[in-house]
Amino acid sequence: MVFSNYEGIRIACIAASVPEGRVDIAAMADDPNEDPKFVKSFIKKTGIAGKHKCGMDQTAADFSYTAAKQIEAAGKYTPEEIGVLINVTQNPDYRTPSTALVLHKRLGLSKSCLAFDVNLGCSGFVYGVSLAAGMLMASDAKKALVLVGDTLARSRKGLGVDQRSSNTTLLFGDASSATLLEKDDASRLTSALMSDGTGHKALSTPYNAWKHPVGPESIPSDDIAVFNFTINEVPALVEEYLTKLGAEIDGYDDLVLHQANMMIIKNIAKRVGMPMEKVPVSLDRFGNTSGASVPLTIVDKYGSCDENKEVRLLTSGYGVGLSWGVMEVTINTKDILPLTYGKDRYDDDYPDE
Amino acid sequence: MFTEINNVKVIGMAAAVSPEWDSISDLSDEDEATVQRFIKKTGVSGRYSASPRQTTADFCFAAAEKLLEEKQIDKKEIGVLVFVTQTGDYRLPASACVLQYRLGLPKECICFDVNLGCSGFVYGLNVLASLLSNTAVKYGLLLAGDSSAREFSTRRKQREGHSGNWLFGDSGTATLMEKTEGGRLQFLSQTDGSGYKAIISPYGSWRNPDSPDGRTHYVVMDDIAVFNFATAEAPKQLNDFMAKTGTTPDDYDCLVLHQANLMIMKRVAKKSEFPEEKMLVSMDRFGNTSSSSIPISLVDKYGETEDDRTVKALCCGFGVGLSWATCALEIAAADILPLVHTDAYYKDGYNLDDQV
Amino acid sequence: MTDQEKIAMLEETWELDEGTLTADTVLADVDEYDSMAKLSLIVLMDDEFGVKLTGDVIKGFETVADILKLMENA
Repeated sequence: MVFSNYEGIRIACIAASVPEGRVDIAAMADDPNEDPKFVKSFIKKTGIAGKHKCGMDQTAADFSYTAAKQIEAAGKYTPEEIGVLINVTQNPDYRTPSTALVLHKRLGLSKSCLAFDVNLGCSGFVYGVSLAAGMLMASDAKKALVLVGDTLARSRKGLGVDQRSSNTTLLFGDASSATLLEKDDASRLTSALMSDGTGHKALSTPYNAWKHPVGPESIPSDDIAVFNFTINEVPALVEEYLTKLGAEIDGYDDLVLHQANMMIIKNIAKRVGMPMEKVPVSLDRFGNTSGASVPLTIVDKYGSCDENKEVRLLTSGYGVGLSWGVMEVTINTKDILPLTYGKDRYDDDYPDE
Repeated sequence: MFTEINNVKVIGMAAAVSPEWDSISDLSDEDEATVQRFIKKTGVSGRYSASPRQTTADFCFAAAEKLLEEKQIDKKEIGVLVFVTQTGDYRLPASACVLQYRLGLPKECICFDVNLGCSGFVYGLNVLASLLSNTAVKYGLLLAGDSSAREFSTRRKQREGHSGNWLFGDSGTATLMEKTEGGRLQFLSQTDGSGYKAIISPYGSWRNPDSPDGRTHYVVMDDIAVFNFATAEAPKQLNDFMAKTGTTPDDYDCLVLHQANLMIMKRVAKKSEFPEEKMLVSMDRFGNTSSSSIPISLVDKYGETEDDRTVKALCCGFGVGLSWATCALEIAAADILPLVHTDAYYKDGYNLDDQV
Repeated sequence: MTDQEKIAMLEETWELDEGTLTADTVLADVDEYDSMAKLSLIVLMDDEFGVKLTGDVIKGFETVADILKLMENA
C-alpha cells in the first residue's frame, strides 16, 4: 500500500446532495414490457430498490455546488479561506477547463487558490481527501474543499426495458458530496491507496474521449473481474492499513464502504470481520453513487443525527481504474450535515443550436 | 497560494513527439503572404502532430520509458503517477491507470489524471511533491501533455481563422521526482474561475452534450481575454514569487514560460525584468504544447547538453482555467534527456475500425 | 499629440504604409486589422498611454477615430 500521513489536518465537515427526481425500481414491474421476475431478482441481488436521477438540465457540479454552499451556510468556511479546491468526477461539465474552475467562480473563491479536476470514480473520496490534505499541509492556506460527484444515472434514455442501453444502467444513482478540510494541530489524517491498471478494462468507457473520439456511450463492465478484485484486494488493504495504525476493526463505529452492490458489501464486511449492523447501507435508496457513495452514506446515517458525539469511521472506496483506498474518518456528528435535494442549476449561455 | 515542500527534487525530464514535423506552409491552404504573416505574428513556423492513432498517453509513455531506462530506476520504487492532460484516452478510467499498466508499475502506486492545460506542469509538480512528501514513496512520475492538433488538422478545412490547428502541437513529457534530503520545491499557485470561458471546449461533456454543428472536440479561445490575463497576471506572479523567495532574475539561468505566443511571452519577460536572451522559446518549432511546453522548452535547450552544470529555471505556466502557477526548478542538465521521437501507439482492442 | 501623430503610431504598429489610415477609416475594411493586430493595439495603448483595453471595448471600435479618442494619457 501507499500509506499517507497528514499531520495537522482534519475533516471539518461533510455534506451531500442528490437530485429531487427519484426512480422506484419495484414500480418498473408495472411496465407491461418488463419481466417482473427480472425486477424482483435485480432488487434482491443488488439490494437497490430505488435511486435518484437528475434531468439533462443538471450536472454533478450543480449538486457539488449545493453541498459546498450548505457547508458555507453552516458557517464552516468563508470563500477567502479556501486555498485548495479539488473536484473528483467522471462527468465533468466540459472537456476543458476543469469543472473545478467553474465551481471556483460559482463559489466565489479567491485567486489565492488552486483548483482542478481529478478523474476517478469509486475511490474518489479517499483519493480526493488524501490529495487535498497533502496540498493544504504544504501551503499557507487555511482550508480545502473536496467535491466528489457523478451523474452516472443521468441519461436521455428512460429506464424502461425498451429504452435502457443495458441493465447496468439500473445500478447507478446520481449524487455529489462536499468535504471541508482544515488545519488543526491536534489532528491527523491517514490513508492507504493502491492502483492496478492491469484491470483498466474491467470498468471502462473508452469512447468519446481522445483515443476513440467516436463510439458507443457505454460498454459492458467485466462484473466477475470487478467482483474478484473487490473481495480480494479491499479486505487485504484494510488489514494492512489497520496493522500500520495499530488499530482493530471493532474500534470503529462503522465500516463505510463504496456502495457497489449488496453482495460485494456483505463479502468485504465479512472478510474484515465487521458485523453488518455496523455497515451502513445507502445503496438501497440511492443506488451505486460512484465516488460520492462513501460521503453520501455517512450523511445518510448521521446527517440528521441530533446527538453531539464523535464517531470513528473506517471508509473504503474501490472500483474503476482499478483504484482503491482506505481511510479512517474521525468526526463529530454535528459536522455531518443533513442530506439536501439539489435544486441548483447553472446556465452557461452556450446555445444548443 | 504559496507552497513549500522539502526533501523532494526533480531528477529527470524527457519529452516525446512524433517523428514528422510539419511546417505551417505544408499545413495551410492559405496564400503564402497570409502564412508568412501568421508565422511573423505568432512565432510558430511549424509543429509536430500526432500520427492518426496516437494520443498524449503514447508520447508520455515513450518519454517515461526512456527516462526510467536512462536513470536506471527500479520500477518497484515508483509510488506515484500523475497524468496531467486535457486529452485523456478515455472518459474513464483515468489514463494514469492505463499508463501504470503499460509501464509495468507496481500496485503500490497512486495513479490519477488531473485536468489542467497551460498551468498543468507546474501544478503537476506541486501535486507530485505533496504526495511524495507525505508517504514513504521514493519516486514519483509526472506525465504531462496534450495532443489535440491531430484532431484539428483532420478537420482543418472546416475551421475558420488561423489559430488552433496551426498554433497547437502534440507531445507528451515525463518528469521524475525523488524524495531526497536537501531538495526543496516552492510554488505560487493562483486561480480565477471567473475566466473559465476564456479557453473552453463547451460541448460534448455533461453541461452541453450536443453542439450546434455536431463537433465537440475543439477549443474556443478568447484571444484578447487570454492576452490581457497573461500579460497582467504572469509577471505579477513571477515578481511576487521572486519577492517571496528573495530571488531576482540574476539568480536564474533561464525563464521558462508556457509557450502561449511570442507576443505574450516577450511582454511577460519584460515586465518581470528578465532579459529576452534568458527566455526559452520552443514554440517556434513546437507550437503551443499546453502542459508539455515548459519541459519541452527545457529539453529543447538542454537535452543535448553534455556538460555537468545545474540549470536554475524559473517556470511559469498560465492559461486555461484561468489557472497559473510559478515554481523554481533546479535540475542537472545531464538529467534532461534529448527529445524522443515515436509513432508507436497503444493497441487497446477498442478501435472500431479494427473490429470488423 | 495630434491626430496625425496618433494615426502614424497606428500605421507603424500595424505595419501599414504611411497614409493608409484616416480618422474615418472603417476598421472592418482594413485587412491587417486581425486578431494579432488587436493584441498589438493593446500593447501600444498600455505602453504609450497607460490605457487598458478589454475585449468589449475593442469590439466597440468601428472606425480609427474611435481608437484615437482613447489615445490620451490615462
